[in-house]
Amino acid sequence: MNIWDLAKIVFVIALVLQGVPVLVWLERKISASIQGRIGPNRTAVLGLKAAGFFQPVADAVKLLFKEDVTPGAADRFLYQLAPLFVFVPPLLVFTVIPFGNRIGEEHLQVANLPIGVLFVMSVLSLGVYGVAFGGWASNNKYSLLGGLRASAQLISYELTLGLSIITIILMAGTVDMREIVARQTRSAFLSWNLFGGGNLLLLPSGLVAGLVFYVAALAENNRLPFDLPECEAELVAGYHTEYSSMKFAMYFMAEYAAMITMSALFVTLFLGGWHFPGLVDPADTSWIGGLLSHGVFVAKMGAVIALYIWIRWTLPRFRYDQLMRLGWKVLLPIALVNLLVIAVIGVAWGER
Amino acid sequence: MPKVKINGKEVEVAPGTLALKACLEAGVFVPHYCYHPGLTPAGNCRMCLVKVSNSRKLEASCMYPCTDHLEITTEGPDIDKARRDVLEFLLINHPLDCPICDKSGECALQDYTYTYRRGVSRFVEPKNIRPTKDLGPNIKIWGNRCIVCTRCVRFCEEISGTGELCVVNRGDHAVVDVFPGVPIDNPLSLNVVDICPVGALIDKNFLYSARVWFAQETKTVCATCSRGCNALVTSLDGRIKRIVARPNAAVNQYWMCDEGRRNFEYVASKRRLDSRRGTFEEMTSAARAIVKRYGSGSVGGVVSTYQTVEEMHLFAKLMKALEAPAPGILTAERGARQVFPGGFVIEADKTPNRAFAVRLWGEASVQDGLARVVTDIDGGRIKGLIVLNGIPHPPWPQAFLAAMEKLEFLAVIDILQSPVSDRASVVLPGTAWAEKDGVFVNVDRRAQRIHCVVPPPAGARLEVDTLQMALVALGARQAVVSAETVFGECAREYSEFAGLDYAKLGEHGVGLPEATESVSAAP
Amino acid sequence: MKMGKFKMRLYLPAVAKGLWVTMRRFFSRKETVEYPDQAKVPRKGYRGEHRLKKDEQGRMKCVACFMCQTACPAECIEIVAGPSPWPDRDKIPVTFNIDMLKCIYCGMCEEACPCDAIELTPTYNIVATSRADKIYDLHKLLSR
Repeated sequence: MNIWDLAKIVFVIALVLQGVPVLVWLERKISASIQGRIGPNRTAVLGLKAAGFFQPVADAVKLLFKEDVTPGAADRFLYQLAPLFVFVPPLLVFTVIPFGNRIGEEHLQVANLPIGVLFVMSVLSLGVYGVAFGGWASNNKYSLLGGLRASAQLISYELTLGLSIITIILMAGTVDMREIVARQTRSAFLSWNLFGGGNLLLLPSGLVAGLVFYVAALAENNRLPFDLPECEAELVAGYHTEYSSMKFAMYFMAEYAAMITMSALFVTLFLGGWHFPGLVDPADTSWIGGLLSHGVFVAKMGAVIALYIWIRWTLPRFRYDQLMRLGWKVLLPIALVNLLVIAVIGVAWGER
Repeated sequence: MPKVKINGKEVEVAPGTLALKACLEAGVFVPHYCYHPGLTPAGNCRMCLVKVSNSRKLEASCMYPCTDHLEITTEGPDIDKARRDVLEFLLINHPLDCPICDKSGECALQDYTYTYRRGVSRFVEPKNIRPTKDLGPNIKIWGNRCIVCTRCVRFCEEISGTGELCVVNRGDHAVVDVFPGVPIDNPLSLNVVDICPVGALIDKNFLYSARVWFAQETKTVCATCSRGCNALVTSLDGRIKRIVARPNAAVNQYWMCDEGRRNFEYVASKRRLDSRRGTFEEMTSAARAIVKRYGSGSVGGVVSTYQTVEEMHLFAKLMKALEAPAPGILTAERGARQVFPGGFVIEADKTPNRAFAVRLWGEASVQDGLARVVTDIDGGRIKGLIVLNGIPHPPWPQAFLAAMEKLEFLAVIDILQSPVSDRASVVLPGTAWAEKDGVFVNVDRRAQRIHCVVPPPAGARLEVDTLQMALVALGARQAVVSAETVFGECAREYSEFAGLDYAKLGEHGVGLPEATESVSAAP
Repeated sequence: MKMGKFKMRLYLPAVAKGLWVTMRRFFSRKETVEYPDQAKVPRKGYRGEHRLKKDEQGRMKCVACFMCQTACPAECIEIVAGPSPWPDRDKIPVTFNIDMLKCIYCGMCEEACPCDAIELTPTYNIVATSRADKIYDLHKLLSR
């Protein structure tokens, strides 16, 4: 392992972990604005209020000092383990995501696995264990219901998510993440997979795949309108009802980390990764070019996350049967048909 | 007997009955101000206009005697209009200061104005100002409010016979006033406040003290003399605010004396006994010990004629249980019996239940008062004494106060702190007349109910309860029951009460027959 | 209408519409009043704590007519009347207590008053450290 690899690992972990408080702040500010409020604006460091930017810091300190309660009837081992299970996968996924072009010969990616996309899918599905463990180990009926709902929901939507990723694999003809991004940098916006990856015939299919992926991603992240596992009106707080202090914070952070990872995945697979026509030159390997490409990547992620938040404060929650019907009877058939269309078009008019 | 038709309904009336009286007796209400059943009619307010078959124009019913086959109509558009117009005239100079008027809420002018919807005044010129002034020590007049119905003037001429009030000035400046230097100050003066249909004449004691719609009104009987005038007590938050007369043709017609109206200050007095010194058990055991040591007749009693029938009955039982001689009777005779030109009487004995004491212990015993008890104490025959008093400011004879020093034991059931209660070893606070239920027998042998109006002070206990508990402690009684049940006992024991109970006494009481058994047969 | 139904089934136009609504709200004026730093100005006709008004000569307007006490549905007003020292009126209140803890701020007293003597002020920060402090007497009501 050279110094570059270490630096990249540290950078990626920092990116995800430091993204969480920023995201919390963003979420609170956006929700406040949508509701005609101001949002957090009281916390200050050395008199600097910064529009409540330090509110998540205060929240974290508060959570750290809270009593860490373990329910008497809980399965202690799994109860302690569960938060780790939800927290680790989002970080792991980030290892294969190219978060920038390259500086010199160093690609801004921790590890370029040849099976990148498959790795992503396998690791992502691990997250459901944390939720199911947490719900079961708490020995609380609300937690259990939340956990059950979560696992059913995650499994259902993972199918759709996987199908739409397969369409991308078909479009790109590879499962190598760096290659998928590279193929999207060949020309302007139209080479983005969202717009058909350079093939105009695939434009509608790309859009449909992007939409299906995005909706499934919302469900995967337990975001409104699909946040049934932690639906307050029915389940108190769902699978993390019994969690307190830092273990609760782990769940909380894992949710936002998963959002970051999912948005990074969406950017990589559909929105051309770090590429932006006219702004980033794929051939530019200088420091400036590399950082610029990273900046573009983060900006795209930010936009995707902002949409997440925007949707959350717009739409009401689904009913559970509606959620399942949407997943199995609408999104899955659409994704399947879309896959078929891409396959046919790919065979008939593909480059190979 | 002439027969008249009132609104199509035929009724029979006495010859010469006035149309208004006939209507009121037939249950048909006709609004009126100057007419008062206890006074001669004046016919000046014109509010009681009705249609009669003998006349084409509307007639003032208070001045129209009934003739045979007269048809009276009291309702109709023309009659309503006439009354509304009369009201408009009456309100020309009336200040309409109902919010600050003490009569507000029980004012005839207010009531009829609401009834006839006279809501707007067409009179834009400035109103007359008539004086607001004192007419006497108890009465103040708001000249502006006066509608010159002259009820008060007629009262002073006919009932009290003193004639202090008159109408001065003419036209719209006319107002009721007194002659210079002669204030209205007769024993019945406050009746003019009762009969004033508006808020012109006001009792200075009641002025500003309560709004009548917040207050409670309780029908009871005045205890200020043995006449037993029927009264209506207004109370607010457990405090008596005023006492007004309640009509009872058999006792007081429509009137009541000033002394009776103002005899309630002591109920909320600071000198009220409100904590017990000793208990009824100490009283009975001490009395029994004295009887055991000195023999029968060594414990005596004093009872006031302010007590109810039930209390006197129980006290007589207590005396018997303690083998005591007949008790001393405390009365409060003051001045002479006053008879007024209108037939109203103020009795000399200022206690309400003298008649029943006479029935229990005999006229001679009541006349004798405390004299025999004093003699017995001085002679050493009585060593212990139980005093039951309800008279607010009892006229204790000096000899009695001196004799008390010789007693070995003195128990007092009383309402106000006094030299007697100061000397007693057992003091049991009792209840004032407005704090209990019971029956008084008035000077004409009429049994009338009194009602609890306000709650007694914290430490006080109903005398009927105290006496019954003492009797139970002496083994002379089984249980403590309510005053009503005790009256049931009286009804079985005394022939004149036979068949009576509280419900049958009603609002106006029942005149009693002569007792069949002799006085000595009493317990 | 068939198209409309299909559009409804499609769900996406409705989502877009919703997003548009929240977007507009996002850029609209913020309603928050940062209370301790910035005092809220109650709307016109706000019914806060009472006060008793005075006339041009600085005397209380109240004539102790008890109309407010009569109208009060919460029975929180307690008046004791007495004779007035001034020639232009008969009576004034000797005590005038309003139990602010019983009061429901309905404004019926203000409506009932024939002299325009009682008024509900826009004072809304109604705090006290004891129950006794919340019984406002004549002096307190007049000095507001």
